[in-house]
Amino acid sequence: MNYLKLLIRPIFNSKLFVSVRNIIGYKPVGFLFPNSVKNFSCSDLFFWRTDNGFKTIFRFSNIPEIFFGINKSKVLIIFYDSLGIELKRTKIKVKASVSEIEIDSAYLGGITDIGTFSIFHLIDRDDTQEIKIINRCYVAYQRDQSIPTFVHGNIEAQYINLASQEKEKVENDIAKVVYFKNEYLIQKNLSLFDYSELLFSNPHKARIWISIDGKREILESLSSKLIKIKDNDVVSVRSNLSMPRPVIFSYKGKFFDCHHG
Amino acid sequence: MNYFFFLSGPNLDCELQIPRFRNSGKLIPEITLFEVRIGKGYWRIEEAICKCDKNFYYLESNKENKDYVYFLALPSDVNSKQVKNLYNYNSYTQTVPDYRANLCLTNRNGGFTSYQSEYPFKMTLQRGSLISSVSTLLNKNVSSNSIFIKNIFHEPINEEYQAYLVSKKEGKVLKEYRIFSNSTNKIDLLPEDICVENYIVAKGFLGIPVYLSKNESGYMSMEHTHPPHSNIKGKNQFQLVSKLRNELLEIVN
Repeated sequence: MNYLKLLIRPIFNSKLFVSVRNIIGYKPVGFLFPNSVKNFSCSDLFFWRTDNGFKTIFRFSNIPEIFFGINKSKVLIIFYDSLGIELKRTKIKVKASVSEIEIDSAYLGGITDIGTFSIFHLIDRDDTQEIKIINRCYVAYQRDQSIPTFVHGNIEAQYINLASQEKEKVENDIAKVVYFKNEYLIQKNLSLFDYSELLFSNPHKARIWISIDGKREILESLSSKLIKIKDNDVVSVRSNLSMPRPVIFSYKGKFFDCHHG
Repeated sequence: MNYFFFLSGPNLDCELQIPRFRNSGKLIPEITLFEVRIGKGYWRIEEAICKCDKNFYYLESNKENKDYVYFLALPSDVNSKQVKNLYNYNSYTQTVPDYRANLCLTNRNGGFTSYQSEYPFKMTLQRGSLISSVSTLLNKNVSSNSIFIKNIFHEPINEEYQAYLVSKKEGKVLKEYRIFSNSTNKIDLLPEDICVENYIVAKGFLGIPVYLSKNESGYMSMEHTHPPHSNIKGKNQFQLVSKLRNELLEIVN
């Protein structure tokens, strides 16, 4: 039986079968990693926000050094605006086990808005070992007198094939869509706060839709949307995205909290 | 199935909102919240008495219940009020995405911070060793930084273990802490402890490390770390994590 499972599993988890599963609704898949690619660096899709006095603090670990003993590496960070259009690329030499960058309005050329970003580790091509990195990272949001309030990455989106001749070509087909009724209820009573904000991004390569309590929104690839919620105890999210989970900001008095939904 | 728990500490209150509904929208009206506490060599199970509405159970921590754990089940699932080990009672909380409760810490200034929490049953069966980098989620520039290490073990015992603050760069143990199974363990860190090469290591002890920073005005930040294996993929995924773990365990040995 176990041999049979071992034989069937790669077929069951192949791109084609995952598409079939997501069409018919049988064990649908949210994210599919490029397992056939020997060396890749994968990124979550993180939110930056510089609106309403916020700044964003981004911390990432030096995964090539911690797990693979690679001392010299860089990271490529790509920022997208709220419509999913690329704003800025930056390359940073990684010098420490954990590094931090601060993203405020000035860093993004004066933009006061929300958006998304990705991070990729760039290492010299190495055919001797398999290197598959998924940098999940940590992002904090800070405003006024608050301290940075952290959330971890939660939505894998893009990767770079580190062995490809096309250097730094970003692939965008990890997050999957479904073709049946897909509903996700947020597991928190949001009516207990002054108000809350749900931040959605589209990690999929094509346009998706989300519907919050019946109100439908369209999100282009890599774009982001902030939806304000008040007085709802249970919020229903419908979408063709397999895992339509937002980052949630809840506000009460001068304080705010943020976490993954 | 998932168990749910509190975190606790001086001048902190903990509130837990446990949804009655599954996150796909299904709800079994008869689903009931049970509380579990350690008796003399057994787990004592009772129906939890707490505030609830049609969607959530609401619990507040106090001195008595701070180490209780909670689970959802049909009354017919729970045949005995005393059990030798924690059980996998049902699959109601076995969902994709994970079935989670909102765990919220509050303070007297009105500050609050929360995360969506759960303790998977299969983790209660495991012994292993915990490693967690201390610099990814804490803030050097605030008045207080702590790590909670929550453990739920399937046997009803409060065993003592050691946790260590380890400098990977210097290859030495910087500090030692006493921690206990089936407890919320809180380790307070000083600004100089929060260094990019420092890790918390606990041998033979698994738990969920949750990081809390706060300042004197009441602002707080709480989040848990990713397990180390979630940062890499491939055939050698667990070997590479073991290599890092063994390197750190060698220092504490």
